[in-house]
Amino acid sequence: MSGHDASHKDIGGGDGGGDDSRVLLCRRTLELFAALLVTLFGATIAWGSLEFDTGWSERGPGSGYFPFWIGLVVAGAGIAIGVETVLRRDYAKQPALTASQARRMLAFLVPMVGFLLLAMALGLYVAMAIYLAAVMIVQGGYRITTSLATAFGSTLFLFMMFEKALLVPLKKGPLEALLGIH
Amino acid sequence: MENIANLMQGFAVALTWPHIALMIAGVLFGILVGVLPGLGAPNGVTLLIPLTFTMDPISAIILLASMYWGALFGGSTTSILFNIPGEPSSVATTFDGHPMAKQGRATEALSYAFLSAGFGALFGVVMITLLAGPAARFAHMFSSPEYFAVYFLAFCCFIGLGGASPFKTLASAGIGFALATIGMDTISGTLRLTFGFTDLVKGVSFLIAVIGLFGIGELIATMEERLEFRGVDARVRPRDVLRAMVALPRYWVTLLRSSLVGCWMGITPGGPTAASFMSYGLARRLSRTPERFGKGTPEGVVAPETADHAAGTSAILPMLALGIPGSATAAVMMGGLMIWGLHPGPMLFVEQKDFVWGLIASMYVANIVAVVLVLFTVPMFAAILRIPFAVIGPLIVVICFVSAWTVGASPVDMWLALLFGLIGYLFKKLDYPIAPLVLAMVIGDKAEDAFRQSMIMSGGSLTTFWGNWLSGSLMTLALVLLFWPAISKLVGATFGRPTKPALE
Repeated sequence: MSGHDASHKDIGGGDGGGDDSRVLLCRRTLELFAALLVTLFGATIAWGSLEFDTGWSERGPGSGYFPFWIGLVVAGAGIAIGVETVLRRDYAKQPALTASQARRMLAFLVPMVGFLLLAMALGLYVAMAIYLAAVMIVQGGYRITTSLATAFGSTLFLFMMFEKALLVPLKKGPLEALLGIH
Repeated sequence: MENIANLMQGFAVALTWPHIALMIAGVLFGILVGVLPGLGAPNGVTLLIPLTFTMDPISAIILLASMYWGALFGGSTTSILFNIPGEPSSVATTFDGHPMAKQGRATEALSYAFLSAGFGALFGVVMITLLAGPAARFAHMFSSPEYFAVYFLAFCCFIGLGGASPFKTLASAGIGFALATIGMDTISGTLRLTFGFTDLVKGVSFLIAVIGLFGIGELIATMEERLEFRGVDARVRPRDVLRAMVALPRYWVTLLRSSLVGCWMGITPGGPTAASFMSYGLARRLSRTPERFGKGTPEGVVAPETADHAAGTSAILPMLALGIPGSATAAVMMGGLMIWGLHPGPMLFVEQKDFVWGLIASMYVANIVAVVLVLFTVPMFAAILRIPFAVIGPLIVVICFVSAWTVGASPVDMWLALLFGLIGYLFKKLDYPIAPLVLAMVIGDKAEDAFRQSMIMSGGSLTTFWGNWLSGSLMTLALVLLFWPAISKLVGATFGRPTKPALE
């Protein structure tokens, strides 16, 4: 399929552990959680629009009118989804997230969040170089030289493209300040 | 016809080697810009305008227009290969394009996309040629009620199609509308729903939502299952391109219908994005096999692509004739026109005949150039899929967040993109439809504005929407489409025919 050679393994979990199908979350729980979020979102929107005119005058609806009613509709939909979920018996038995799925997902998410945090502090270019290299080495199993080369190469390419060719400046950090790049 | 003579003259102006070189350069640059999610045709046009100061207006607009083509094609490429729409108007292409790629039919999907796009664009240009005069008169009929009716129609076309759960569809659309209301309200000038966050004053950008929901969300969902672009046939065969070319005429109904929808949405500015959604919705609604949509049927690629390009092209017309830009890109181009000392409007057609018809003629040529160029680079794009996911996954992550940054240079946008990514992942897992959310965010703002303007004009009365034949028929059509599933069930039950099972 995607001809792997022995020098690197799949991202997240590798092949050694096999499939850990312990169910962490069943469908019903996840659905209820989502329905709750939807309802809360709707309620927040409706509540937030109360500070504006939610009436309908000769000038038509006030600026609060639409957000208010949409918020209520969304909240109502959220409740309806919750009810639907409870009524569906089969949801309790459907798995939504297994242990190995969760592990693979986190293996992807955590570095991504790390990248964002790094970007806040060090600027996008430094962050991407670190992120790319780290993921390739730790999760991809590539050799350090290959990883560093790819990471730096990609960063340089994107730098050239955005800063020089497209003239769209990206978020910079302390390193660029030191080097005098703005 | 006078227009044909003008067109011939325009060809003479446009078809010079320097101009053709500009077309090629423009298209290539456009493809690059279009491929990057978040960085789109408007950015590209903005960047090129300073370069055009030294050129004559005709060369300048040829460059910009070619870049626009390229961007449209580039956006479709990433939609199909990575499920990441590079342009808002390529969102609908992901619905069937990406499943096709996952089934190993990437080249086929790309070929269908580019060829139908070429057709749609050509149709649009022909429309412009024919309608350059009457368009001015027609557009004068459009006021706020008519605008609202158009948006409402686009929405209803797409929405009432059923799906997992009507409440989830409702929630999705509602969330989209709610998000669209965040920020400054153009009618009253108040800041809505910002909850004291200054970053929300500019609202939640639709681009951020798309990057998050489609890009990040898709990546997270993919990572859940171990394998990457499973089963994608990495070897690209020119035979697939030819096969698509030969099979395309089979979809002539879709092609024609989508072109008409696209031209309509381009001229009455609904925009290419709304056009692509509407066309997809219509195609699915009118198809004899609606259940195949979403799983990788060519028609699901042909419909939105044709409409999107037809709309993008015909949006140029109201921009030239009336100074009403039908899309963000047309707006920037209009700015460019004014910088070069040209003033859009009916007089442009009289005073600057060479320019107008040179531009229109160049669009025919650039279209062909673009389709050829893009078909040749298809193997290159499809080959990207051969890169191991361990490398390309993180690269896509980086590009997504970089694109999120380019939207407004705000760190908050990047975190919002992450948030949308998680939402997208959740939606996918729980069968919440994402499309209504996206569509609501795109047209929600404009639709609400049009609605409230109409209300101000009519003193708060809803009957204004049926005030004239144009908006009245649009609204009625929209309502019929919205309630079509219920209506057809009713009709079937009344006449004893077995009712069709709910779509999808």
